[in-house]
Amino acid sequence: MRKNRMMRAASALMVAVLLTTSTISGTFAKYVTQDSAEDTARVAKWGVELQVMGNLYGDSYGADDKIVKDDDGSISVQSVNYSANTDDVVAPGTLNDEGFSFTLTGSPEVDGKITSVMTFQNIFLKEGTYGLMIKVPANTITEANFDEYADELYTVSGTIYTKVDAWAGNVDYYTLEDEVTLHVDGDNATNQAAYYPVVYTLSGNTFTTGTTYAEDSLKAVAEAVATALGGATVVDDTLGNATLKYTNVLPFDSNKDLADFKLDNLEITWAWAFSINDMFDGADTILGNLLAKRNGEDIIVVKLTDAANRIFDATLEDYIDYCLDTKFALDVTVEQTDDDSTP
Amino acid sequence: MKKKITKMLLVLAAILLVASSSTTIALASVLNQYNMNDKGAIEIAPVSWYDQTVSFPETEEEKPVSTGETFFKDYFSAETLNYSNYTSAGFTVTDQNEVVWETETEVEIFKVAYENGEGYVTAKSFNGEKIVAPGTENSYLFKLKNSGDTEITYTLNVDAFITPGDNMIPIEARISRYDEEWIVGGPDEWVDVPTLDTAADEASLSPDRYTYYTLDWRWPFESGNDEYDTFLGNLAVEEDITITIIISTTATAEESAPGTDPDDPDSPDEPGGGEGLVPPDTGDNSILSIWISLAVGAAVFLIIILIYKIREEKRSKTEASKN
Repeated sequence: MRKNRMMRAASALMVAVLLTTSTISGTFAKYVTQDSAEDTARVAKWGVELQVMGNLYGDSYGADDKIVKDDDGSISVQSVNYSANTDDVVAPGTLNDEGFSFTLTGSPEVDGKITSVMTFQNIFLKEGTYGLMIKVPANTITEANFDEYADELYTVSGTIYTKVDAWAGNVDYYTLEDEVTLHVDGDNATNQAAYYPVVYTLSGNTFTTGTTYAEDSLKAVAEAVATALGGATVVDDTLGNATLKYTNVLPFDSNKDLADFKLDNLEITWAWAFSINDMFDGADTILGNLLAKRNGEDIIVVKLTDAANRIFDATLEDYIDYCLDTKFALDVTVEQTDDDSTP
Repeated sequence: MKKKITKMLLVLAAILLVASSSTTIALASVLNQYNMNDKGAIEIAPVSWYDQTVSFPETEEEKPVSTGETFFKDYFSAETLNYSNYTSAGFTVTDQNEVVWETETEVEIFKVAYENGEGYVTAKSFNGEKIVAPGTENSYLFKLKNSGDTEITYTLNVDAFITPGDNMIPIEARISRYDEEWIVGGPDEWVDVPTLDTAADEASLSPDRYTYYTLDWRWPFESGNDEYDTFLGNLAVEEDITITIIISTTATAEESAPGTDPDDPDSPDEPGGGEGLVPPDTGDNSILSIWISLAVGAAVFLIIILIYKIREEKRSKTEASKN
């Protein structure tokens, strides 16, 4: 029995040796190589945010002359088209001191550029002497009583109104009312100047030189905004209607914090003073009459063309001699670029 | 009779034990410089092998062919080859940055920053992570080389995916081989990421031959979908949207004696054509230590039985002579 067991043990051990030998040699005899490579990337961050806050104009102004919501019962100025909600208005005494501002934030991981397009237009009355021609009721002036009114009467030929010194027959006679001559700071003697009643400010600062009302403060604000934005400014004055367009392109490198441009410091406000002095009040009246005329009323606004002979012309060109509209539009676009144009 | 058979078996077992032990010792002395890593792959040979200059073909004349000349020798002069240090594995993959592929080797398919045609950086990661963006692109070239003495068959597979999976990055790609065969895409054709995920190739490499592939990818600057690009860029602020590309190669060699290939009349008679050893490519996932322990254990038991048997016989003889 013992020998059988020994034989079996020996046989089993031999088998074990054979198995292990074949396995080990099989391992060393196999030729397999595996390699791999990998890489991962994430989408580059953009995250540019542009926020615009506030409204510049409104269709209604409250007792405090500020823009009000539609449901505010205290209204001092309101557009005739208020119910149709088609236009905003400005008037003497109105203002917006809460501001219209915008912020730009983000740190994109790619190069880009900020393109700002400002389109603006301001209310103005060109320098000169203006008035209203009021027609004298028919048969009021006769040859008999002409001398009583001689210093005040004008006759018309086409659009030209000429002061008359003598009876001109049974024609239409006119009188000149609300005559006003625009000067710098109300100085009637010299320095005729245009009148820009709506005064714009940027972050509380005005940028006009000299008197505020004689220069276009909105243009000055637009130039200051363009300077703050940086980059090159391209001016387009071909739009007509006394409208200018400023285009600024400001490139930036990847990972630039756009808040560094401090655009959130740019806050635009405006105000139209109610009564400064008699001259400016007269100019406001002329502007109001011009608007009424544009709206179809039979009003004759004239401008002095010959001071020595007191000749006036009713031919006034909108957007040349005056402008009754004001607007400020700002379009800001931030986009990625693939050409490096950083100065 | 049974005694004789038992003795014979024991002697046979002893001979086998000696033979396997000596074979194991001989193999181990050659292969001890190779270690299997966790994935069961043989690690690359010592650094001295990479002292050699490796250059990728730039002209038609330099392009490798699959038969005929031994390009490995054409690229290197006899003076630069030092076969005494030449202890590499038979199949290696390297890229244009001389990075050697092992397992899940991180390579530079993508970049941290990208330049435009004028050399200006137009996209750059803020934290050193690799990024992709509209307008970015790259080409990644990698070379597969059979530096062994046996022909190998290899397969190449590409995995490409986006995380999270519900987003799509409009990246296009294509892969070409050295012989202008297109694995995916074409000269005027780019494929999307899901299609890239299906790219695969299979071919063979004779000894001392190599082949190379080029992976091109791009995110078109003008894709016609700026809105979606912007959406991705804004989403990337909140969460990482990533693209991953994995290229895997598996090479299997024919089992033949090193240095001989009866079917290839140009095969050198000696391994590597020079001095020194040309170790075979080996390796699998077997845990050799277990088998070796088993072999050693069996051998020890065999010896014990032998000794016991001899003593038993002596004792029997002694008892018999006493009786």
